[in-house]
Amino acid sequence: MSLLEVKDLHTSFRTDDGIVRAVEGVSFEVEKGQTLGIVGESGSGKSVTCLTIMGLNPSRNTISTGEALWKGKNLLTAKPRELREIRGSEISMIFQDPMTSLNPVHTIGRQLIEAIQLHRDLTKRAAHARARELLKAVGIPKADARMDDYPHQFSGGMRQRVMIAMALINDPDLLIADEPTTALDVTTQAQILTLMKRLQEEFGSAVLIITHDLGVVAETADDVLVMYAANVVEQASVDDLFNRPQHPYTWGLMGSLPRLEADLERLTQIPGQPPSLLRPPAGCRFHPRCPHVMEVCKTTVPPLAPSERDPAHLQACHLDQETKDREAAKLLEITMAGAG
Amino acid sequence: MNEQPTTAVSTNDRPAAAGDDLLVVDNVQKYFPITRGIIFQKQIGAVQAVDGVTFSVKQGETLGIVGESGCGKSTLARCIVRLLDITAGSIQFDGRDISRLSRMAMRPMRREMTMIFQDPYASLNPRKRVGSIVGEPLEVHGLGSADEIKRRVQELLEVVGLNPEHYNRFPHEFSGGQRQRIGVARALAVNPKLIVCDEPVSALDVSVQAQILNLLKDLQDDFGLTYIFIAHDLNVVRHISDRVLVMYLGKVAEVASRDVLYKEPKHPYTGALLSAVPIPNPELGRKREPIVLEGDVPSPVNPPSACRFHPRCPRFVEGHCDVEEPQLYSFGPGHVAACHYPLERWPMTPEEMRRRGTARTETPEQALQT
Ligand SMILES: Nc1ncnc2c1ncn2[C@@H]1O[C@H](COP(=O)(O)OP(=O)(O)OP(=O)(O)O)[C@@H](O)[C@H]1O
Ligand SMILES: Nc1ncnc2c1ncn2[C@@H]1O[C@H](COP(=O)(O)OP(=O)(O)OP(=O)(O)O)[C@@H](O)[C@H]1O
Ligand SMILES: [Mg+2]
Ligand SMILES: [Mg+2]
Repeated sequence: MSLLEVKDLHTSFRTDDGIVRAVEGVSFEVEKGQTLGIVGESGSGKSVTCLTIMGLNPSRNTISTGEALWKGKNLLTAKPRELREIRGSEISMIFQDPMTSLNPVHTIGRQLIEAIQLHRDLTKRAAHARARELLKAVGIPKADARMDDYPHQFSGGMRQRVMIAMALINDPDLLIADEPTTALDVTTQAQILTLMKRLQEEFGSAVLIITHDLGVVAETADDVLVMYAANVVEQASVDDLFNRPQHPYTWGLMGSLPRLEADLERLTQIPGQPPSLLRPPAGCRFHPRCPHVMEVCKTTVPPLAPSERDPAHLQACHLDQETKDREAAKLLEITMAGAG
Repeated sequence: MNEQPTTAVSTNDRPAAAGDDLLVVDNVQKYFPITRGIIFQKQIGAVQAVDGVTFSVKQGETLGIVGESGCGKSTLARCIVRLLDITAGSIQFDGRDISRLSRMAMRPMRREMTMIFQDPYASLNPRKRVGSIVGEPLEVHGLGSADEIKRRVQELLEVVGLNPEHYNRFPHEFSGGQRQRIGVARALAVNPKLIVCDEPVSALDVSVQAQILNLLKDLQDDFGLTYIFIAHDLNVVRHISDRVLVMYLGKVAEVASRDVLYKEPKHPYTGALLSAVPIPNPELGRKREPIVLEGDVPSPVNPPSACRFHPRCPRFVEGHCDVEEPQLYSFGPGHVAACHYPLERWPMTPEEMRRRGTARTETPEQALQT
């Protein structure tokens, strides 16, 4: 049994203008010790997928269906109390937006100490020491002088690291990290990624990491899920995804990277606008922007299916294998030349 | 967006020509007092967030700023747009000293310099719909009728890759990257001369990121916009910047044109940064040999003596780097770095980096105007 098994997850929001279908039929599994990366278009449903699993979507206007089995138990139908318990002790989440989860009117020290005491039976003094230790582990020095600061007195990256410290308090079985290093410079980022790796080695924790930084995915993930417009369009091992990407959206993504060697005036971008989730395009959702579009793409949704080359490599595209191989090879050549 | 929107009137009565300095930051300092006590607040120290930073930005130029988390980039940005009062130094914008202007006197300047904030959510009013958030600066400055403003806002949303259907939504109904783009649209609304961009694309997937970066470049080509561009993604900074400034713990470590900085970095901290960029390919990434900075991250509350980088520097020389503060030495036109033992070449392995060469002895070049 997998640690987490997500099956056909759907989440929609009712808004004044209609129903926004933010996640439509997402399925994946996470094993103990595994790191699963999620990449994809901004607004494609990555954060909502994780918030749904954690039971943290605003409930009034949200409808979720499907299953998220945590050690066999469906989190979507669990009672709020059970969910809170699991969130407190087994699954931690680092939120994309640190300010929404730090309380602006309490000091950093107080928030950390309270979080520590919630999980462990420690005296105030011991909790204080542990808080300092955690701040140091995420690279915030001279914690004594900073514990009485309020969140607004910390820099963006420092707030993000406080969030990371909080998520690591209880050595979770699963860490969901939503863009955990976006606000961090590359050296601090390396330090945080090492810290996450250590958590995995020590406790066999699994990590679900959402990031738009393809460099970070390449260096941390074992497997990767690519999302576009509320759907998963590709899923593969990290080596396979980078060496043999099969979906035109993934090609577009990799082709948009600013490359050190290329003195391009303009970056390549995927043409067209991101699709509406109120009225998504028929057929393949990527078809209006796809340079390889065929008639069938406009009417028929391509299922997420094993690729002809490798049954473990899932992709949702109508193109023939030859074209896919050719495009993937072209792209790989550019990447290798770029970094070499 | 290829034309200057008609709703805004140009304020260029004494236009700075391309090549003139639009912004001159001179020895700017920002200290945050640390206080204890509830009724009688006693100052017990200060966070020396920005400590004597000097640089200038030409009209039509993009200056990239990079540096470690917490080194003072956002504080510097907020000082420039006068959301924070500076402790010492001066800031000139378009030939005018703005460092001590009152709030009232600053108001007309607010449409000439805007800022894209690092924390998109915290900078958006949660009770307002996106249409009025983006349109607000236009209203405040009286730029157009209600209809014109609405049209302009819709156009702005589109150029940053949002749908018209987003017009009536509240900030919490957006994804992280969508919120960031609301901030971009808002900063563009009033056709400013200078935009201070604090991590403007950090939450965007690379394709939308490319779209925004292309947009910023187009606007610069067409209207001579000037940018200060703070980002931690060194590939993005390299793509967008003409020159790059590297900050370390409140001070300038190195400034150079972007090609020179990436090909011939002189400061060991710059070297460490360049070596730590993750590579978007698993195989190549495994071969990478990053220069790991050892030692504790220093604090701006009581920064290390002399060179602030010395406790973590692989080339540290006892009795020199911790005693004498390095000035900004010149390494060619427009290239300065504050290091006694600059890198002889690049790239270097961590091992090579530790074998330091001879010390710089020439008289330091004080001024940065080049
Ligand atoms: N409360 C809400 N009400 C209505 N729509 C919402 C709400 N929350 C999210 N959405 C929409 O759902 C879609 C998915 O959002 P989500 O936050 O999952 O995106 P994401 O993939 O995490 O993007 P990013 O990379 O920009 O963070 C977006 O288009 C967003 O506008
Ligand atoms: N209002 C404030 N009061 C006290 N200290 C502050 C305040 N604002 C910022 N600081 C401190 O000043 C230092 C510099 O912060 P700043 O936000 O400028 O960093 P930054 O370079 O933007 O970092 P990041 O890359 O993480 O965003 C930090 O130590 C921060 O805690
Ligand atoms: Mg998100
Ligand atoms: Mg900042």
